[in-house]
Amino acid sequence: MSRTIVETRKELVDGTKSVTEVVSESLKIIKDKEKLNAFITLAEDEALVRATWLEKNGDRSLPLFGVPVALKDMYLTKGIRTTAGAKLLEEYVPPYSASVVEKLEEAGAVIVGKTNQDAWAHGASGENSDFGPSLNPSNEEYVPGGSSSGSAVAVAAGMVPLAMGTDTGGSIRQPANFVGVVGFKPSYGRVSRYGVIAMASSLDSMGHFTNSVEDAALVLGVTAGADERDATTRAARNYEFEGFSKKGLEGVRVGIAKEYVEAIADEEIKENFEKVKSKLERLGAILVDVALPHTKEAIAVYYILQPAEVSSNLARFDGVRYGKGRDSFGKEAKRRIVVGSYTLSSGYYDAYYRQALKVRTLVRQDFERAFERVDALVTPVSPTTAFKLGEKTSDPLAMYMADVLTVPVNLAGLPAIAIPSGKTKGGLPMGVQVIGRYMDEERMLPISYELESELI
Amino acid sequence: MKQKKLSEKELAHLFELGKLELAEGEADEYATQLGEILDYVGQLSNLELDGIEETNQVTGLVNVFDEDKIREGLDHGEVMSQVPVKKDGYVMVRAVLGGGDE
Repeated sequence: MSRTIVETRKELVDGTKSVTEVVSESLKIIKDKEKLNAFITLAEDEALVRATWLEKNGDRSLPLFGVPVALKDMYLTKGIRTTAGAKLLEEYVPPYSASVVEKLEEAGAVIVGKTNQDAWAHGASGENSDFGPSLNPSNEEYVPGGSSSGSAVAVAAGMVPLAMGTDTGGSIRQPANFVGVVGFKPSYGRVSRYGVIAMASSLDSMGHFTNSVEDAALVLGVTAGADERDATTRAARNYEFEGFSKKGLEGVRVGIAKEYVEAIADEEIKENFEKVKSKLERLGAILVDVALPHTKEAIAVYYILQPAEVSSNLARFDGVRYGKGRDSFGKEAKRRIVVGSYTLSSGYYDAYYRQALKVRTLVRQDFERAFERVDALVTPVSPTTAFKLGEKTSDPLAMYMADVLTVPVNLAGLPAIAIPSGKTKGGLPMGVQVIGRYMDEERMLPISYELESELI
Repeated sequence: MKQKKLSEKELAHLFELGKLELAEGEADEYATQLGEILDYVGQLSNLELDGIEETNQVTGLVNVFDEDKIREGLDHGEVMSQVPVKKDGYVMVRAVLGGGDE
């Protein structure tokens, strides 16, 4: 059912299918599965016009020639409504597109629509969307995770082979894990954030959902690199992707952190993770026990720094130049603005914000020490599988804890990828996370590819 | 830093800082939830962290400069199309000074 980008491209280049056929199929599946509420805005007409244009004028050697792509509604799209999942931007039509959107289009991709998400990317379930929650395709009584909920669903349900997301504290990896697809968060500063609505600017990372690690690498080859419009990317290399070949993991040192294993709150995930470890050994990897002692503090650090940055970034929404007024903010945005205002205010700044900046250093040092001894870390993605709709909506703090194993990576800016590793007896997806060194996707993606081949 | 619930006064002040309106009947829910969140993240305030550097960003980049050249900006008409209240090609804002009605 779910085809990869590589497979989709092959059909297009062979001429087995036309771009219009591929795009129409994608649009049809989106409509057939409308109930999953994966999209906020469909760009049907634009997509079909572009498909015809590509068919006539497009360069078939482009890496994403004719590939339908869905964008989380954080990515600005010139002329196509962009809401951030929030009523405040319900009628906002951007006058320009994000750098990543331009790069995808230059690479031949066809944008089919904008996906549902927790409003402003605040959430771990998709339920904070002002446009209603998306549903988990594995079981519609369950959440697909968040905040990039619709993008995760769009790939999992076979609507598109590629969907872009944003990952500030796990918003790509956690939903990928809940719906059973690959979710990749590149290093901070490797992919331009220009034109993507800012959540927490020292943490935001632009990544994507795909059906394979190979596809994830292929897309990074398009999105990565320096952009003069985002100063944090100035040192970013392009990512040169020429395909993977299976070599095994002979002699590769893989770190296993006990703090992450201990956080697993589900017997089936625990068993599954043990199986992943033996598969790594079967591939020839050397498992090394490492300590990441500040894992527990990381979530507290995150829920100080992130709301502080949110309160600053959301200050621009004044309803004067675009969008509606601040009375349109939903409850979660208000909570975060208020928490951020609190921890940044005089009298509390030292006890909260400054302390968090210092513990962020400790979290980074934990990883640096671990990477002196290993090539990659392999961990669970979330303590639990997907939870039921409504289960955590009245308890914000419980919802925050869903990010406990993804957040430390953002604090350190590292690249990480979630890969499906099986299903529970009840049919819910499980996955593992591979974490690499800063700006070293060149090393961590091939390791992830080897591991994936053993998990399928 | 132990606090289970924010006071009404604190809550009102914080909403004002964020330029947010506190709707009637919501105060109690916010006070409890925010108290819990601040209590949880407040665990860091007890840590002994003398001499540890602060991490504000992870790229290590310092002073990123742009070449001094003119770049084309956005189309004025397209940008203005999103402005809710405008007059003669300008954005209308509320008066910042004075006590007028506008």
